[in-house]
Amino acid sequence: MERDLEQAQPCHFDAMLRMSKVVEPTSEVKEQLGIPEPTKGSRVLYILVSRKLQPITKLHGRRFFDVWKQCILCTWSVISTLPFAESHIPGHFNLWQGGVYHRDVSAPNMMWYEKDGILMGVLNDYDLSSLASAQGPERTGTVPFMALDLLTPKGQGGEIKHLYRHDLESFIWVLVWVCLRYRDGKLLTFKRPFDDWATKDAVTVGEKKVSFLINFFSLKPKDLDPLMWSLVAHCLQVLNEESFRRRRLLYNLDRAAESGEEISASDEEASESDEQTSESGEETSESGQETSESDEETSEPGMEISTKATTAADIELADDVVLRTFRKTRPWIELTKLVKRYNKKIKKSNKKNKTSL
Amino acid sequence: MAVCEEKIFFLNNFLALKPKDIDPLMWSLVAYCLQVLNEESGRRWRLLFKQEMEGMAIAIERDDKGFLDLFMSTKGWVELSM
Repeated sequence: MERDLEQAQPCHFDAMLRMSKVVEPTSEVKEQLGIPEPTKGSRVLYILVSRKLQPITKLHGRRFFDVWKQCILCTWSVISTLPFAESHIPGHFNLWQGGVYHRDVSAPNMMWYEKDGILMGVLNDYDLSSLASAQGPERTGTVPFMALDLLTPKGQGGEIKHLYRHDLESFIWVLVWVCLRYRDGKLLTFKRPFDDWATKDAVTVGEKKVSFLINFFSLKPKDLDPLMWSLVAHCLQVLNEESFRRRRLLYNLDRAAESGEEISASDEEASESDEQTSESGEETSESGQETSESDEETSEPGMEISTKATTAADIELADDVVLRTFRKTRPWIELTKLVKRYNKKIKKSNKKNKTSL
Repeated sequence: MAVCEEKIFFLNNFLALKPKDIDPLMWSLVAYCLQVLNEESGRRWRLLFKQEMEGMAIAIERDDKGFLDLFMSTKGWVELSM
């Protein structure tokens, strides 16, 4: 095992050290073990061995952001149940664009390991993933982290298609979950919010999350790093703006279908929301390991909001546009710079040590 | 708290609850009023966000007359008032 670990590639993907498939379906395995199993929906058991990974909840501040961002953008993910174990597997965004949908982004699935002082994010557990060509109506995900759309009765009934933005929203709920429930890598023991998100039914949690989204300022922790709080607040506000934008367009479509009625208040507010401040920011892309970071300017949430739609299909933004809306927020760019600076220092020091040896 | 959460959730999803047998003019009024509440909530939140992030006081509330006018200017309100 040690030898396997040494041989594994050191960067940005997690090598599969061992993989074997148990020929018997899980129903048969369970039958032999005397465990009752439903006759339908049996799974196939794969035994996988990879390097030991740490939970993202152990991290905070810059180190948390580093791993969290990698899971969104540039992690080389562990594909646990797909019938291949390739060494070069793209991260969540690219996988989605390639037609492989994770659909269960959650805190327990976001992990990391450290190699020569550099953190490597790993989005684990593609158990619930599906291929674009075979996406079924079944609902997947872990309730506290699921997108609001999917926590509605319609969403739970399988009437809403799982989109990229739903997975991206789950990443944001992971950020909120960890920043408000953990401090310095430890679960808070008192005044810990969201316990009921893990126990209530999906629709009730959906209502609680919608309410939280418009009242989150009241839950600002006094001892959270200001830059991390700024990231949380900006990301939640992007979710808010996106939700407002979609609802406004849906309303306009509904009105147009009814009578072609014009609504002055919506139009007025729409133009208000488009007037956002912007500041210039510098290039923050990282040496080709991920899709390039914002290269133009930072923006406040809602910067790229479109307020025109003629059909329901026009309501959805392109996946890369949604992602960019988060990446262009000020705290995201500032934290990216911090991580980049730190990693550069570590790499320099590693190189120096190697040379001296 | 549960009612508050349910109402916010309803406000976000009211279009899905449109009754099939409602008078169109009444639905137009209901939908418009709820959308005004939505837009107002969005407007206030944008300002509150700015206030919290930039640490400066901003006037968030509209004047009462302006707020009332948002509802009274709707087609449904005007036609039903005739």
